[in-house]
Amino acid sequence: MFNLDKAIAEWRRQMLAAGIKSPVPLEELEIHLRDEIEQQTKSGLSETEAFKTAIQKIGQAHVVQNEFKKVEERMGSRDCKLLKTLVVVLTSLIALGMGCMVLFKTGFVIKIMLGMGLGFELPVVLLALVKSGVLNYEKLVSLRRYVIVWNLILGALLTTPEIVTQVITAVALQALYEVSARIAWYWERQENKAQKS
Amino acid sequence: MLSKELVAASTEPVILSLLSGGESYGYALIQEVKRLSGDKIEWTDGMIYPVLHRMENEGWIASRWGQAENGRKRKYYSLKKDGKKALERQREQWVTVSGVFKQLWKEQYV
Repeated sequence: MFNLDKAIAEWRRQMLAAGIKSPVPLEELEIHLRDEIEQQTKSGLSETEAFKTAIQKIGQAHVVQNEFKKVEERMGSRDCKLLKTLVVVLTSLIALGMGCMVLFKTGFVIKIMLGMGLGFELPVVLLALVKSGVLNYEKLVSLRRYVIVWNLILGALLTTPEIVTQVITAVALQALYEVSARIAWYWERQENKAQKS
Repeated sequence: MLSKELVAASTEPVILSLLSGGESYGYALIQEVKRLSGDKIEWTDGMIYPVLHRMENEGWIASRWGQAENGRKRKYYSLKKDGKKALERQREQWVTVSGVFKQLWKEQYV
């Protein structure tokens, strides 16, 4: 004897195996399936036949999953845009802070605190950009020479106008940059390995 | 039967147009298209949901869980303001295309 609920449970399992993980689409698909079966049985088909045609019409699990994946990818690209805006906002805030500091000749302690805070934020921003695909190891390396100049300028602005502290700050910032680049390199290698296997 | 490419291109504007007449759900949308096209447009049933979800992400349509007459749960979709704008944009394009065909084929078929 054909058991509809059992058959639907089995179909759900197959869809899950194909990768439709989020419960909402699957639930929606199941409701659709039940609607279709109901309609078919009304027009005279047996439940077994109705179930067979219904799952055929809904499409193969991996094909449907592919379509859902495309939706997720698009969402991903939107997240990336959000990240870009975030970076732009962050950098303009930094520039604004700098301008204020220069104008009002802020004290050394405030400056160094702000400098360290922003400096240690740098790897987070950089690696977020790497993850979202805006930057990669190669780009980070090619940007290095500009970053060195920029770090020296930052060093001058963030510390007392004296060469030793300037260089120390610049070196610290550069080290953070190098660490970020190294992590990006490591991620890429991992990804390549995963793709090969 | 319509070609795959044409089905893919027309799905969004068709759904938007259907929803502009009031909220609806996946199964009903498919049935409606089938009826309107004289059974010539048959979407693979599973394919409408990814499209609906994409349009929801896009901010064109909104969804809510409701209850159907038979007591079952059901996800209803309705058109949002951005969706109306999108429909208007796509409509213009389709009207242009169909206008061209109308003029080109007038002599041959009338």
